[in-house]
Amino acid sequence: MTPTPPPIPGQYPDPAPSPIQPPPPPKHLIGQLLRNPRALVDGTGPDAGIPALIGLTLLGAIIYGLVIGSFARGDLLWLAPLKLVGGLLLSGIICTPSLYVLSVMGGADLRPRQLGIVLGGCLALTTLLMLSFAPVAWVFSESSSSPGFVGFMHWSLWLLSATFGLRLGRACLQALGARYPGSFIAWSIIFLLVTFQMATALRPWLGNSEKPFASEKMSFLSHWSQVLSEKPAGAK
Amino acid sequence: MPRPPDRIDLRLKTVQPPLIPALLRGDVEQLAPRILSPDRWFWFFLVALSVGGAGAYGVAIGSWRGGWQPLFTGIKLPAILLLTATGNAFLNSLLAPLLGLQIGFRQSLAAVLASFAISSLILAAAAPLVAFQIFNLPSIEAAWSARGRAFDTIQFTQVLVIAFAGISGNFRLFQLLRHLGGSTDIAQRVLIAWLAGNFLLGTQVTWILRPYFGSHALPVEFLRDHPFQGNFFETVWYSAREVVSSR
Repeated sequence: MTPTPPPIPGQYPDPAPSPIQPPPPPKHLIGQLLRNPRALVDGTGPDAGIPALIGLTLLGAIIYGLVIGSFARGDLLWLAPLKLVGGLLLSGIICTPSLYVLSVMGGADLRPRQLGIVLGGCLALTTLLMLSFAPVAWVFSESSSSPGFVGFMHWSLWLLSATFGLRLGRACLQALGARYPGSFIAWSIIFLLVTFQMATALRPWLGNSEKPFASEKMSFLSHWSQVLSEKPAGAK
Repeated sequence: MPRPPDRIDLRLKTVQPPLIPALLRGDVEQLAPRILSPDRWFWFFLVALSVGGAGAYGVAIGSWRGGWQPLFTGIKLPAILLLTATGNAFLNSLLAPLLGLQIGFRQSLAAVLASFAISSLILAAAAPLVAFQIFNLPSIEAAWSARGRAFDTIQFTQVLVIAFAGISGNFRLFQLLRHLGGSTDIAQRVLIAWLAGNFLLGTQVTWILRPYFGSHALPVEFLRDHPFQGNFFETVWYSAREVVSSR
């Protein structure tokens, strides 16, 4: 039997055998997202996790985007899914450096692959839940003519879904050694604010417009107050 | 128990833990040996982090004015950090042993640079967020009132981000000083003394290297025509006097 050399001072000790289960094969990805998110961040599994998470995110965003676009129809029917996919990916890219810095400051031992898994897991679970809300959202958007009401509904469903997605991110970081939840809560607030502003930058979502994007720059708070003050055109 | 072969020992000794996570976590077990005997690679690493991180943030905030301003601000923000650290290096190295921390010139400079590098890492992480915020704000060409609101928003964000980065960097520096000095009292004394010196020099260097956001009414320029005219404290004093006298 080969003896184990003692750890060298000033160097990370050899990682202890992980009690976390190895990552599941992609066909069980949804089950793992819902039941055992910690298994996603175990580094011993195959690298197929990130593409599968991105694929799930794209699928959920495209289908929910169709539901958003079905309110105004016309060009928005294909523009809304594109905007939702682009907006989610851009928000993720913008927030990746802060996720890394705040997570490591919170004590997590985060490597690039695990960073991708945490972010991808958050987005995938969020869009998966939005996908599950798609029938409800479609029924309400078909029976309402108020952009304010439909917009509020989409935002409520997004917030509800994102809460679960971010909770998954926190569980993953805890599995990676994070000790201070405050740093991830701070990042979650930053991420949500970025998505609110991204949606405002990529408007219109619900109203017909000659241009695919609004030219006027506006904060999301100003935009929301403007939308909520609009009167509905009449019952559908 | 037989000893493992020396060849394996040597190979393991060359494996270094990643420095960026160690800095962000304030991992004093990893950082203290490097601060006490900094090698060339460690110096390069700290300077590169400060230049890259603060530079990226400078480019982001300079993007509101446009033109050459992002490049100028991207050069000037790292310059403030490096000029403050080197300008006060001798003073800091004298204050440390006087206040009970037995470290020399190289060690005190490395400790201050390490705290600046941590702040720069946080600024780098905030750079895309600030760039996105500026993209969504009225441009510098917009109407006066909209431009004023945008300027106020940018300024407020800078205060929040820079305060968070500065506090985090200094908190990590405090942890390091406590580890090196073996006492909270010594760490507090040294940190307060270093902060006072760095604040005094840093504010004036910042004043001399203005502008950072740029002004609509003035052309984009690296430095104002008379950069050494006035100082930060005089300006604050006159502004405060204006506020009081106008009531």
